[in-house]
Amino acid sequence: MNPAVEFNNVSKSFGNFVAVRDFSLKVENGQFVTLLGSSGSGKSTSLMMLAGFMAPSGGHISIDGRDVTELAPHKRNIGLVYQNYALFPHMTVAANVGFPLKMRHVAKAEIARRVRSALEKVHLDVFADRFPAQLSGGQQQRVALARAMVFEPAILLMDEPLGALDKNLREEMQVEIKRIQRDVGITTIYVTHDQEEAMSMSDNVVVMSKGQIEQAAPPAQLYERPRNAFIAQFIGSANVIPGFVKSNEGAKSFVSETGTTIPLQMHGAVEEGARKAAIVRPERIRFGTGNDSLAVPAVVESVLYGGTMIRYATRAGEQRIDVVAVNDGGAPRQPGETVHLIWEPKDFLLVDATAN
Amino acid sequence: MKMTVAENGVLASNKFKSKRAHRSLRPSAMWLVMPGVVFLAVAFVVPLLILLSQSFYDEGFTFRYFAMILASPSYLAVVWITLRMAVLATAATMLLAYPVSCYLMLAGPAMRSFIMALIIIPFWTNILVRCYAWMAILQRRGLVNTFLTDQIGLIDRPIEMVYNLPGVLIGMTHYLLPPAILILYSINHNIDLRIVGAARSLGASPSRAFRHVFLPLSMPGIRAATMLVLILSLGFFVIPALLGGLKDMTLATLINVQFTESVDWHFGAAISMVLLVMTLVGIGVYYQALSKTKGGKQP
Repeated sequence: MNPAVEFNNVSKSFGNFVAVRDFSLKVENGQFVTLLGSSGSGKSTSLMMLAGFMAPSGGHISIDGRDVTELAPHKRNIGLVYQNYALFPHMTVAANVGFPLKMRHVAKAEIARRVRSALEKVHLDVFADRFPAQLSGGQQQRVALARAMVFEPAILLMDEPLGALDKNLREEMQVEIKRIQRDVGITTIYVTHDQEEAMSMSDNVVVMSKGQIEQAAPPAQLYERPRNAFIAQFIGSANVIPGFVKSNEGAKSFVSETGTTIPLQMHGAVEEGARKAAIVRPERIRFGTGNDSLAVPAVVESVLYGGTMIRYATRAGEQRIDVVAVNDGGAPRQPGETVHLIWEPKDFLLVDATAN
Repeated sequence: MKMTVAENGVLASNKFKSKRAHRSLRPSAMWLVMPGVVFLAVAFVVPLLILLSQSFYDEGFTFRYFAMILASPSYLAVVWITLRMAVLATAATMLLAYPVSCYLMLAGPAMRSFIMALIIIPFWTNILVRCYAWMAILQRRGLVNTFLTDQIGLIDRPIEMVYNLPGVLIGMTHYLLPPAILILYSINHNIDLRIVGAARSLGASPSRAFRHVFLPLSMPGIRAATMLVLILSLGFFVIPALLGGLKDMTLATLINVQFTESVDWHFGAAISMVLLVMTLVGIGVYYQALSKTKGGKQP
């Protein structure tokens, strides 16, 4: 079976500026894939090329096995949701949702029926006769979603659809979009700069930087097995410790650039002397005792009491290491206190220090 | 634009706007307005009222002068000629101005500045200069006719392009194009072109996206420009006088004749009243149309 969407070595440059470079990606039918990156990473440009609003400078794009690189936007059968919703202000909600069907010469009665069912799906059937300006931001976004799906497009594209909403509404809409997407089973490509949004909604996340893919993986893999320091820092928070591997009488250890030595276990395959970055997530670090042979001694520098969580900044030698501990009701550690940091060997990752 | 909506569905931003609009001027600020108001009252409103009052007062209250206009087919013809000329010139102007204003929205900054200069330079040029320039171009032995007859021999006899209705329309359209383009552009450039892009992605061909989305959204601009151009064309005097023939007598030229040649101020005032009423009715119709289509306006 053909992938729903395939980018094949797609590039786009504007003059001397390369916005997207050798972008290759396959999206399987029914998947929810997110392009994640900061502004200027090329994520929106990739989406606009798929929608047909920009022509690639090189490479091919196909939808369901059919090359669409040269196809006009209105012939691509793609539902597109913009950040600013792009609703037609001079049409009612029902007319907005009915627009793509009208453009496809669907009979009037059929349009009315499908508009009603699309609006029911997004719980807005009572607002059919209102104008977009009479709705709240979240409601407008749901109208845009209904409009983009009512004609049963092959794929649904969303460009920062929740960017204009406040935090609570954004979380509510994430659940809503995910529910609708799962109900309909439509292949979805979603663009955002918000990594939490990407992680919580997607089957696969494609992290982009400077027009290239850094890593494409399911959210859990991205978090647990980041390919490099850039990904580790971009997804969630991480202690990123640049340094190299040293071997001493068969026992391997990691020496940070700041000179702190951290004993290694289960990292047999790592060659000695390789310049790496060690990654350890703050919430995977626990406070142990000095008896533990793998413990790293450190001094607490500051304590941030956050209710559910307590954040510690500690220093092991010259190396700063952040720790997040669940507030278990015990007395928090105090600044100046000496602690022993321990973690599971699997949580201490050695990755490439640099991005692509 | 991001909108916040109050519980009852009223747009908060609109509420804010109207509150500001209704805020009354502070007393001290009134003094700043007074000189202008006094000047306008003394130099414009009072003379106008005195003049217009002469249309129905001539040693006693009378409708004699209005009866003269209504009874005479030749005067009614002038009203008709004025109206027809204004409507034709407005139609020609809008048909030419609209595509230019659309192009201005799509053009890059450098191209836009260049076109703006091309629009504004004639706008600053004196109307008499422009009329004489058109005479030189359009007359029997003018640029166009000489080119068509002598240079390429397309026609045997020169075409009559000036001192007739086409001549007046060319002059008027040329005069009206810059304000029409500027008004259309200033209102239409607020249209979010991503909305047109959305229509394209939803299956609309370029022409259907234009017809169903861009055109309706540009209607406020079209209405404003049409009305302004129509009101301007009703009062044209110089262009019909210079580029028109004897048959192309407009209300404005007729008023001029009454005041300067016939020296019949009462009759001239009556014709002025007719022109004023026609213009006011035009404005009234315009605002009526505007208020009816409020629902379709962009938020």
